Amino acid sequence: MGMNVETVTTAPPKEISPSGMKVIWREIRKDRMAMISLVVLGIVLIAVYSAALFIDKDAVARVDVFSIYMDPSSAYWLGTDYGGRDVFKQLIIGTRNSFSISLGITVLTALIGLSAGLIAGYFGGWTDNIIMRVIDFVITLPQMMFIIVLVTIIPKFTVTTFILIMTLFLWTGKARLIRSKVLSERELDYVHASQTLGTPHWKIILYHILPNVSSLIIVNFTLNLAGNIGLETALTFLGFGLPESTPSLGTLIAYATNPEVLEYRWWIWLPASVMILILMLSINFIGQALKRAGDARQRRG
Amino acid sequence: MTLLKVEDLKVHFPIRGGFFRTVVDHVRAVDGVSFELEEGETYGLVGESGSGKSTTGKAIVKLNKVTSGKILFEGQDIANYSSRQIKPYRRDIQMIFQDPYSSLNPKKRVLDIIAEPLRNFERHSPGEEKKIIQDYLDKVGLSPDSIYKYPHEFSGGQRQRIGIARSLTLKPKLIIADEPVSALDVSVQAQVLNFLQDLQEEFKLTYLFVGHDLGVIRHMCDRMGVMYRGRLVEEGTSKEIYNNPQHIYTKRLIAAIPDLEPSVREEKAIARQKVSEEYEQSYSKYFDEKGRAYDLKPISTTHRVALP
Ligand SMILES: Nc1ncnc2c1ncn2[C@@H]1O[C@H](COP(=O)(O)OP(=O)(O)OP(=O)(O)O)[C@@H](O)[C@H]1O
Ligand SMILES: [Mg+2]
Repeated sequence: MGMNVETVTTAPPKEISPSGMKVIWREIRKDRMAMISLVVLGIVLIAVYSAALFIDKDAVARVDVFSIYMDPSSAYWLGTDYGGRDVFKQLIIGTRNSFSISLGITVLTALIGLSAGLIAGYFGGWTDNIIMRVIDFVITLPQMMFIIVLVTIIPKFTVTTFILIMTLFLWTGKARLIRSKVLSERELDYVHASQTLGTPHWKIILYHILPNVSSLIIVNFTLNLAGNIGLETALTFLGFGLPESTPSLGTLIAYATNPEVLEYRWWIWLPASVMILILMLSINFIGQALKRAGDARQRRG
Repeated sequence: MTLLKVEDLKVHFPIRGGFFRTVVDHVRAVDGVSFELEEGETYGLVGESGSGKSTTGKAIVKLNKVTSGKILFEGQDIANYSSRQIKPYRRDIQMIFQDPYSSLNPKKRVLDIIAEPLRNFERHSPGEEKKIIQDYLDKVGLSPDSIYKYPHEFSGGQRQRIGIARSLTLKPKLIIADEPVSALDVSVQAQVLNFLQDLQEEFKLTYLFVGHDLGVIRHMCDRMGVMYRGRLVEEGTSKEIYNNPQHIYTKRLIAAIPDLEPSVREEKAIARQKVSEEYEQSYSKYFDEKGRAYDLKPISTTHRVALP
């Protein structure tokens, strides 16, 4: 026990202040919607991800001509689709896929955008110039056309390829956002002070500037997470996303393009739609609370 | 012994404009400034806002790129050193910043703020480090318990002391103090200034003291240089500048010092009026046709003035 206390007091100092996390937590607790959202999101995600472990993915994707368009029953909780595939299991796997895609895109774009934004903003000059020209180039590309072309030419379209393609186009916004914040941050005297104190540039970027832009990143991260779920669903719905062999919320909702399904078999597409609504709303509510935590004037806690 | 010698220092910032963001002109923030600092002395740089005082100080600590000229520290020209070459000099030349609110990282504890330079140059166990930091905190008059607090828990004056403690930990030879008290309450100003003087004695420091308040500069400095539009217009001991100003700009600067004594107020107002008139009339005598001050010419062994 004595040893324990000893190690706590002499532990190397934390680089990031704990007060930031505390403020966020307090803000979420003060906001009932955010708190409910956090609980709901937590339950849904834990349920979906653990249930997906017990579902045989290939079996779900396999066509079974003997059980086409079955109504909900104890064997098929949400019935089956035109290929005789279990809709409930597709919903589980689909939710997992959709969320993973969104998370993957958000994490990757955040990493790339953050690195590019920090470097461009901190060093400025020609480094900034090159990075900004690359961003301008990516932005001027006709994104939709590229996505459609890539979807058509890539033979085995999976979750990973989808994440990579979307990341290719979506990191630029984050990079610009971070860059503009870093540009103003690096003019502050605490950065100048670090420079005159002999702190290397990479340390200034990671340990001084990054913590000061972290609230911006966290807020942007959550709001993007919600946005990217919608993006995946929309693209898949339009037929430029995942194939039916990889179920996602988008593929399930796409069944509703068949008027017969839309009208008489709501159990195929409605649960997926509700799931999207739940995910996006709850993430957004949490994001709003985080946003307030990042801005002292709006705080409730 | 000369510790720092600045020779014909120029710092020009490009102004970009037009469609291709090309350089269309330069801001001549510092345009040919020369001065010397003896070891242990305090040299003041005064001048109105935008005259290039901070830029001069920042060029010496390499926060601004030097366009041309020399910065000799102990005889070594460090003006064009790369960031790797300059590293050993970081120990010897430190800076105290103007704004105590933005010069401390709001996300760091006092311990981490003051220990930053130490961690860059020396190896200490966490226990030793803590002890060193507490010693310095004690020296700048802050409670040693404050090491786990964050900057926002302190007042402006206390923050400036934290900044001062940070600049002292490496035992520098030269400290550039960029208006260290201008953001502080008048009641705290004197306290911090006296404290800087005490430290100077204790640590044998040399100060380059930047400010726009002539009263403060006179109180602090042995010698001073008066800056105007990126150039020195007059240089001398504090007494010379104050009692015998030669350049019209210096005269105006001194006339502008407010006087608290009611008896001389009237007198002062008249004197100010006179200087103001003289300034209008003889402006062209003191500046060349481009409005640039002339080079400094010695009028005594210590006193130099920019005259044609
Ligand atoms: N990074 C920069 N880029 C462009 N111009 C700059 C830059 N830094 C300073 N300047 C310009 O250089 C001139 C001198 O600025 P400086 O900060 O040295 O003035 P100062 O004498 O310290 O004034 P103050 O008393 O207000 O602090 C100003 O005209 C300013 O606009
Ligand atoms: Mg200044």
